[in-house]
Amino acid sequence: MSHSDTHAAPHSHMKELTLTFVALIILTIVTVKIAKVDFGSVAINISIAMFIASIKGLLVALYFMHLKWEEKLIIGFAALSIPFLVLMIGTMVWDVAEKTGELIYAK
Amino acid sequence: MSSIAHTADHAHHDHHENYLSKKGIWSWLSSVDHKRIGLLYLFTGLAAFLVGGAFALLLRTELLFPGKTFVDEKTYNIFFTLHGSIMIFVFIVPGIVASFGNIFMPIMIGARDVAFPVLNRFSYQVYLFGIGTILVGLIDPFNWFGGPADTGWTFYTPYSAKSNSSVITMTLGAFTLGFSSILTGLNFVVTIHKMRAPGMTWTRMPLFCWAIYSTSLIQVLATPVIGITLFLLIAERFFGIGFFDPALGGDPVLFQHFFWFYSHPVVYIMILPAMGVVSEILPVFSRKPIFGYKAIAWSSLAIAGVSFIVWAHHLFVSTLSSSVAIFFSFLTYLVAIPTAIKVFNWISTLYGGQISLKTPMLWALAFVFLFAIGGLTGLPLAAPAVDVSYHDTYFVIAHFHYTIQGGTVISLMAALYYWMPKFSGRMYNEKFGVAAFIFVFVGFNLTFIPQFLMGTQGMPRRYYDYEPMFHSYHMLSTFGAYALGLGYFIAVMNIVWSCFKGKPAPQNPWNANTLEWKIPSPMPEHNFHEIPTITEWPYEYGRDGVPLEKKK
Amino acid sequence: MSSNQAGYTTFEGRTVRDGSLWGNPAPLVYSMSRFGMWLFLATEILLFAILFTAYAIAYYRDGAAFHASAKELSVAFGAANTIILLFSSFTVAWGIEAVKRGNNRLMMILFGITVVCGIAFLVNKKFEYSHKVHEVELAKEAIAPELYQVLKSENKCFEAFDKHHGEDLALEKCKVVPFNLANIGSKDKSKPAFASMFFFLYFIMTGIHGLHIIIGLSLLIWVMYKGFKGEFHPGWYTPVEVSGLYWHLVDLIWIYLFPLLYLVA
Repeated sequence: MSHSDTHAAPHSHMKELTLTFVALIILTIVTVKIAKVDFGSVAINISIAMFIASIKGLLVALYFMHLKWEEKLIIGFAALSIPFLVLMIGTMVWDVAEKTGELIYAK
Repeated sequence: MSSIAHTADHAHHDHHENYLSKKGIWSWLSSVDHKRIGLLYLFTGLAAFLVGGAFALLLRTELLFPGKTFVDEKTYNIFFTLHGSIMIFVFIVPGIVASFGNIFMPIMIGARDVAFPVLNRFSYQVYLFGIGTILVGLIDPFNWFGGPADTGWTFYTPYSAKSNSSVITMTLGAFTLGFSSILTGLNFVVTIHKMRAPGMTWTRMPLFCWAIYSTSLIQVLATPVIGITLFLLIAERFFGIGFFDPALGGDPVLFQHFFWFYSHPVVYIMILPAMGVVSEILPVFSRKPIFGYKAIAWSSLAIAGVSFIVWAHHLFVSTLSSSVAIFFSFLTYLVAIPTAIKVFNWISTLYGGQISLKTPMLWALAFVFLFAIGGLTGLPLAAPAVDVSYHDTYFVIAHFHYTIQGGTVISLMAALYYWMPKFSGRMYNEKFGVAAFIFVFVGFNLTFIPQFLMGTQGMPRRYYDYEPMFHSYHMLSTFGAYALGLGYFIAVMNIVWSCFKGKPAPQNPWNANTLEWKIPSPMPEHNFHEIPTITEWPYEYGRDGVPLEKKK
Repeated sequence: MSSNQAGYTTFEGRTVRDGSLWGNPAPLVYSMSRFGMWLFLATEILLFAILFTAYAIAYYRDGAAFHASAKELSVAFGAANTIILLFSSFTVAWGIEAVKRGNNRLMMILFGITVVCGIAFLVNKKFEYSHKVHEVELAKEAIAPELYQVLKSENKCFEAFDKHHGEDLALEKCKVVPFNLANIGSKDKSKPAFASMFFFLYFIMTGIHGLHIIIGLSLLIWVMYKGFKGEFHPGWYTPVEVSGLYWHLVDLIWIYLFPLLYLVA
């Protein structure tokens, strides 16, 4: 089944879309409930929240945005943005973390 | 290829229909033809070059003598801010990509236009709007802002958040220009992936196209970052929030992190197309295949990739923690490797070739020499311990002028002279071309070698006044700058004049093999009579049984 | 090749565009447009990534202030907006499925529902924003010393205990307005436009996100207009799909914004 040919009616993905929507709603409820639980440190709390958000994001990207059935080129480029995010956020927070103990800002 | 060759008999008279045939300003401004849009970028960019250059001459004149020469300190700060901002945002970043990339990349891959021609025209319109915004900030006609920005093109906080000048307007202009850059990059990435002619595999694609592709990747991925960073700066000035203000719990070094996350990859946006041009010119004028095609192609991608992970070497003296500094220093040395691979491959291309020293070749050879110096002088800067002494001195200024000017601008001149017969159908004046080159080459070195020497002795950059010990260096540098300016002026005027009055040029004056030389000069509106099928790579010089270029 | 317009074909007795553009056939245009839109979405993701980085850094440097400010946000509003946006993503995806099968009427209905959801989101946001001009507690006086002095002199501060890593911490809290329109552009530090770093990030991030919602709605409405003119059929629906992609991105960003802004307390 090719999505680059718009002439033949492609088979329906309604089942997957509906299941995805239901899963997203459930995960949203989970997100809200889990936020009330304190897992100890801030880092772990945020990591869990981001992890659940990423599952939701992945569902939206794969099913709603059709990535699961897309051509490899587009999947490659979509995936390319992820290491960038990790790089950018990771390095800058690392630098701030290294410095924060040492430097005292004017209060 | 015969279907293209049969149009060769039209080459010698420019009465045939070509992309320049439709006349009138509106036909130019409303055109979605990539060749016209590329030419518009080219001449707009060259005009910006002359304006940015004028600011350089002004600031160099002020530095002719210690103390005040003819302007005060704030005006001097404005001079170097405008010189940097105009040169970088308006001239060099669009530079070779938006001009020659637009004109020739689609032809070189055997396409009739880019993937999104209307978006291409929109890109240029956004570019013009960005220039307009910067001009408003520059001229500040009703003194709304307190004068043009004086923060340096890097707009560092906290000064840029407080300076009583047109920072918001200039950064809005830069933001707009960035948006134009993103759209162009996006267009080119899709074009190269999807619109190559049958048989044009990635390994048969000219190296200029590999360079444009790598550049476009950087443009798409890096430019949004500067956009949002400048926006945060504008918010800081406008809303008075202290995101970069330590007194309000912010951090000015964060601005530097965000700013350089884009601005380091941007220097590779500047240099990669320049390297692509040189990879095209050297084989043609040595009548030899390019040495190490695959290595050059992959190194372009490698440079694009590594360029994203070295930005903090601009922050070595800005309270960067030592482990972070070591990490970035290591990565910075890594990016030298693919660059060096290219330089070795170029030199190997020249070795044993039949060198023809026409003007494009002169510029290309100068590129290899000057860029190598620029690259080598980056090595001490990449070591944090050494950088403590060199940061913010004239050593850095000379380093980046050797790489950006000795690199990109020289290569742009090479591209201009190489491709002028193709896009205009006329030939430039060789004597003036050589004369301009000599002025530029001598003037360039005279301007910047004293700056290396000053820098190692501690002369700081962006300083209005200086110790008497630096006086002779500054004088030499200023005289060099005037020679340089004259050289560029002659070089550009030669081209402009020859576009209207030059001798008609043959279809393929350089006997080159890439697709643009197989179609008439000037190019037909839809590029190809029939889309060619590609069966070989374009660098078979001297090996294909055809005699090497005959002397006239 | 001569035309810069699309060619035409017939579908269900009507003359419709066949999707070719600038001499390129419809399947190529379809493929290139999706690729181009994904590239553009990558740039949008990077734009928000910097804002998330700014958030991460600000949180790292003063988590306690973040928590205190975040408590003022209404989780109910945020969760409602999340559900609205997720539903709108579903209707958009469903609408694209419909147009692929030639069911233009269903597509128009579903896209209409999506637009309504988008507008509902914005209306919700407006209520939330106007709610924010009431006073909230600013826990960390160290961040804004001049502001703190002003508030203290106006008797808006009080001692309170706050849980910090399981321990009770004595803090001085002051009541302040999170966002004051009147203070925009003021260089007076005791009159800031935003009461704290958290609120600055909250308004900027949701504001830029809101701008993207408006752009997405414009795209969807434009597509509905073209659909109303009967331009789409199983052989040509590229603008529909590409606009849908943009809308999904807007939803994707909110999926991350919601926990970071509303659930961090």
